Amino acid sequence: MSEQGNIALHTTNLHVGYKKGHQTQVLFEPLNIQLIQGELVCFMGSNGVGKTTLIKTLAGIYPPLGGSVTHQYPVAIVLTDKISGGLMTVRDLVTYGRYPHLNRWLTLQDQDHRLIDNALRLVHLQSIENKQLNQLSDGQLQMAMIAKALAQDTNMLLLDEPTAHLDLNNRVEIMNLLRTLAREEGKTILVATHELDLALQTADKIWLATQDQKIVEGMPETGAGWHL
Amino acid sequence: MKKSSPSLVLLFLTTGLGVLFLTNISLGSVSIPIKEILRALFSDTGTASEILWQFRLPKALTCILAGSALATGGLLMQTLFRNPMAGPDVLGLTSGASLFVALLLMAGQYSGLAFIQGPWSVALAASLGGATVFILIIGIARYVQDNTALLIVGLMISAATSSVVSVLQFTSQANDLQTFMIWMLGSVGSTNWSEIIVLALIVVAGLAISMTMIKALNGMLLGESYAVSLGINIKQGRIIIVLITGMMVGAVTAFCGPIAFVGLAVPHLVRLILPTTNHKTLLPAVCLGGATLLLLCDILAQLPGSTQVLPLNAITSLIGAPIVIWMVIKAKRISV
Repeated sequence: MSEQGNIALHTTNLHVGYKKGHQTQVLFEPLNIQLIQGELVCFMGSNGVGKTTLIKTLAGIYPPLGGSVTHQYPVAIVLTDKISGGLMTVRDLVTYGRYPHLNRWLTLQDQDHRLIDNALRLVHLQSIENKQLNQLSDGQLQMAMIAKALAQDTNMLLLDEPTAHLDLNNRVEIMNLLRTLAREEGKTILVATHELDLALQTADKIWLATQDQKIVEGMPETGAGWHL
Repeated sequence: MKKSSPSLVLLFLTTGLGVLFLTNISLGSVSIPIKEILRALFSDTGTASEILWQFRLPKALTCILAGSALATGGLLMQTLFRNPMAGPDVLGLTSGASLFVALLLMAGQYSGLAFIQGPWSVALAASLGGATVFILIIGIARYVQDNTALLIVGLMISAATSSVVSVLQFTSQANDLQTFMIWMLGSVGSTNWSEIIVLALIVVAGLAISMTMIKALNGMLLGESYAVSLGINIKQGRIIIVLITGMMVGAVTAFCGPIAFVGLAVPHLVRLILPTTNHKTLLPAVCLGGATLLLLCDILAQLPGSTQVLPLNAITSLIGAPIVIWMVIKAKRISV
């Protein structure tokens, strides 16, 4: 693995946080971090430390309080936000991934159908593409959300705790899928997670959000752990 | 779950609308054979055509406009608030309109507004009242993120305005009270052609604009963060949807009074036969469904075969409430 790959995303003195009334709450020290193309980075840290805020800032959903985020590519995200629309089919949800490329009448081209099919295939949901979301298990729903992000056909994925509330099988399956996507599709992936074991086994790098408002980058134990 | 093809459902609804439209204009206190109706549609002489053009066509057209506007307004509000219970009457829009109309009709002698009474000023008061409550709700929605909390705020606004209205009713004179009560019962039969043209312009514009907003509407179901990440301008979309909903519901309430139930129930009835969340299909289906349902309610309100006419609101709620209860029991849950 080369350490000197292309930089897919980097931040310059990024101030991450939020405004509450007239007060500004900054969550981290000014950040100068980077993601290398094709890497799977696991982002760890205790609850409330600001992982979600950082991910949303990197994705451009929240404005930075200072400094800047520079991406080489558009970003697709998987969040913990609840979505409405229990009657929505899996395919309809994945179709959302194509929205940035569709006109206001949402006319799908062959290319869009192909990318949706491909996303469904990658997460193994083709057989239930017409099922409604309220009929899915938590694991299937999470896979469908990942498929939506994949259908966006971006080189970068940011995921906020995609394995939360899932059983071990599903957690392993999702982390393996992310590793495959990074290895085989060359996607740059940042995933916030609490799964230390799985992170050590799958990640190329680990980011640790510490209590003193820093993000420490480290390598998972080398050698062991690449085989589950 | 069995699948119904969207185009088949739309075809079915369009046919139903056509049949009910013809049925609606052929029924009334004077019985006119259907042949005569069809002839009168294309001529302007004779008693039949006078009845048709003066009374029945305006009423049937008002039904179609009001039904589609209220149902679409209900769908837009359910999507906007991501809440299956949202609707013009639930969130206090119609009670806001009622309050302003009550102030105009019953407090006129105190406020010195008595001289401006008339159908157009009632319409203006209703629109202003609906818009005021809607702006209030949207303002509160910026601070209250929780949709259930917002719904409770809406119900409280309804309760507060209703109590002011009842105080006004208690202290007002019999004549004014009667004018107000008749407006409150809802009616599609009192609109003249110039009012229908105004209503039609507002409703058609509202429906057309909402059809251009399907991307934003679909995006709202995923919530703001996802919508932003998909390149949807959700803030702009929200403002436009609020404006067109307020405009359409306000206009209908202005001319027809507060018509209950249609806005809340039609989107759910449509989702029952056409289980989808894609507004590209939902919007036209809900629009047709609302028009069809209000035509049907109006036919029933005329009590076919008699000269009596029941208040429209009695019928919409009487048919509507059991359908919604049955639907909730059958589906065990209800979603946006």
